[in-house]
Amino acid sequence: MDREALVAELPLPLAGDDDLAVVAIAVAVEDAFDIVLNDDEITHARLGTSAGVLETLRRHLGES
Amino acid sequence: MCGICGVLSFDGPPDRELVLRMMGRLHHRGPDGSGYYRDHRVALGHTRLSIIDVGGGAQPMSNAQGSVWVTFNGEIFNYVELRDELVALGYRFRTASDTEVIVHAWEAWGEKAFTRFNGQWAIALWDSSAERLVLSRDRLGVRPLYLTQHRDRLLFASEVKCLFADPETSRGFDAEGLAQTFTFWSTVAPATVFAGVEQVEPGTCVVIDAGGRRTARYWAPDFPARGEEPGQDLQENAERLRELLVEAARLRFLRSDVPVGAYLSGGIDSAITASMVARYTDSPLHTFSLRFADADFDEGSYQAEMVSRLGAQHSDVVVDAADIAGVFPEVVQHAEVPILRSAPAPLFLLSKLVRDSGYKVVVTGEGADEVLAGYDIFREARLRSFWARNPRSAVRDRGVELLYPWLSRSPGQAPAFARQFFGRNLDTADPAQSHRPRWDSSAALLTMLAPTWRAATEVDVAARLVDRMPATQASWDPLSRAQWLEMTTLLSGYILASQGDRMLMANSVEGRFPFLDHRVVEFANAVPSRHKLLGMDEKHLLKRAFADLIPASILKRPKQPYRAPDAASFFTASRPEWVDEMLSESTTRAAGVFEPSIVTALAQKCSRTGGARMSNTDNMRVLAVLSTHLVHHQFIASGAAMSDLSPAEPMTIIDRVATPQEA
Repeated sequence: MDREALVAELPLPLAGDDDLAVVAIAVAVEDAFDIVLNDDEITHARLGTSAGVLETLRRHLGES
Repeated sequence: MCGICGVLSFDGPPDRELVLRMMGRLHHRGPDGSGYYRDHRVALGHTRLSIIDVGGGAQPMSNAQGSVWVTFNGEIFNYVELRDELVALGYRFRTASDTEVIVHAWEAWGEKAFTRFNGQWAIALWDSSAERLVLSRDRLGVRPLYLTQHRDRLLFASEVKCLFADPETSRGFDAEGLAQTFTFWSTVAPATVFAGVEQVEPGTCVVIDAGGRRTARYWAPDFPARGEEPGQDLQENAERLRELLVEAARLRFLRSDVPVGAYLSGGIDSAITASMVARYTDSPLHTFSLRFADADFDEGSYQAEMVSRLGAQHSDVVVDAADIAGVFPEVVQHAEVPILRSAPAPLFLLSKLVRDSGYKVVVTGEGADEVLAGYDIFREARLRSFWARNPRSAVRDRGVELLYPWLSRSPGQAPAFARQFFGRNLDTADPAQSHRPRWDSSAALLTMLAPTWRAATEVDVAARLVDRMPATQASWDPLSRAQWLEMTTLLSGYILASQGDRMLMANSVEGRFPFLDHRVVEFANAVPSRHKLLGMDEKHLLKRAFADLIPASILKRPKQPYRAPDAASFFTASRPEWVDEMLSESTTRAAGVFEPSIVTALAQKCSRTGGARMSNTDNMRVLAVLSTHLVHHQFIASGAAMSDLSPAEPMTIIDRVATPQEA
């Protein structure tokens, strides 16, 4: 599946700024993409939206 | 739904009186009638709870020639479609029952017949022309089937108590069965807690003939390699899951000649089951719920919301600690195993309500948590894997705070302890990584054992279980491995047995489980794990599939597992006498399983605290001691006596051995 489709499966955007909810999204992202995020990526608020997850993935994979 | 039993004799005809005693001990499983078939090799007994073809389905049943005989407990839900196939092949039917379908399916397809059945069954089939006895059990172990073999005969039955009707059956605990129970919370088939007693493994049949005895597997839970799942589209998978579940629910609700009710727990699974019935059938719906006097366990507000939405006729029973303690000895007598939770007791009272309300069949949501990843243990394993990828991370361990939000002392309230507890053995290469914390904590029970049993149970049951995992498990997603372990241990050994079949059939009620339709299971096993457990969202695919039928308040509530008060149930001021008796030093020494000083200290602690605010481990210890001693007292102790009822009338007798006086 393409990256956008996988990200579209995630329950986003998150409501509020619950940092535990962000951890749960990080769990889902790692599971879907078989990657290991670093702590900065996990704690970053970008994981709260689809666009933010895509950006995180691009950076993580060295695409930007 | 019924009870079955029988004897295969290697030396002369089976003893008629023995078969009648065995049938009598199954009276509760079949109060509507009984029957037996006997020839010079075999006797097949049956006690009937009449549900399909009430007038014509008496058992044992044979083909027209009388060469194939069947005694059967359960339902073949696709019997109508199979019957059409068999009629097209030239078979003629004398009844409208699913039992006769089994007879002709055996003639047409032999052992492959079991792969065609959609249902829940324990079958004993005697093919007299081949002198072959076949004992078959459904794919997931919904229906029980036990056997034991002596020098000159083999006995089988739906319940172990029937096997003890034969004085030659030895009575004692089995070391490996106890070790499994005190590790996994259940035995793993073919083991049982009784030495010399086996159970037929789910998904297999045992064949005994002149060539000896063999076990043939016709089904096993399987999963694709991670990344190679056939369907990757979340929405398409949700729609397909709904189609399959609706069909499974329709089959289980409509294929009955008596009214079918539905359990309603307040959770998602039973809400979906009941909603499917309401939406997709024209039948009136009667729902049944369990409520607790203790608000910590009660889900009454969610039940009320669903009842109102469904417009169902509704009945409930409110259970308190005294109720649990009051029925617990009877519960253990039906469960026939040590149980580490009191949870079966309220379910015993719920099935009594169903029966008293005039129903003898209910559909329930059992199996959804195993098949679609609802249990906390799956979330826990996912988080521990997440943590294990970088144990030095400063944020990954925070995930444990997401676990068990329903616990009064949740990890979120004691994160330091939670990190210490869940952070042990973060070894992702371990195929059983998901279950190690539970198994390790349960195995604390083994330290209570008396020296003899402690030595005897020093077998690594976990390693043996891992050895039984399919070789392909290495390619599976970690969630699939966890699901395999859960299906192989707790589902058939506890959820469907001690909390399922036994508590239902104790009051002559049949349970039907749409989530355990094998087509649902096979489909769910094949979808990507992330669809079932999306990050930390359990049963995500199921919620998506039924979002329009279930109110958001239930759909979005945190998963609350079914629980009941454990130790606290047994140490109220008005506790029954049997509690002190089962914790006494004399009982402990007579049973010989536990170290008396440890039991005495535990009993004193409970008396001091009233059984309240005890740790999970202490709750397990209390239940383990009480239930193990009850099992010993009821089944093993010298002088243990089981009431011998007469099998229910009318009785169908086909006896090819009987003297004129006996007939």
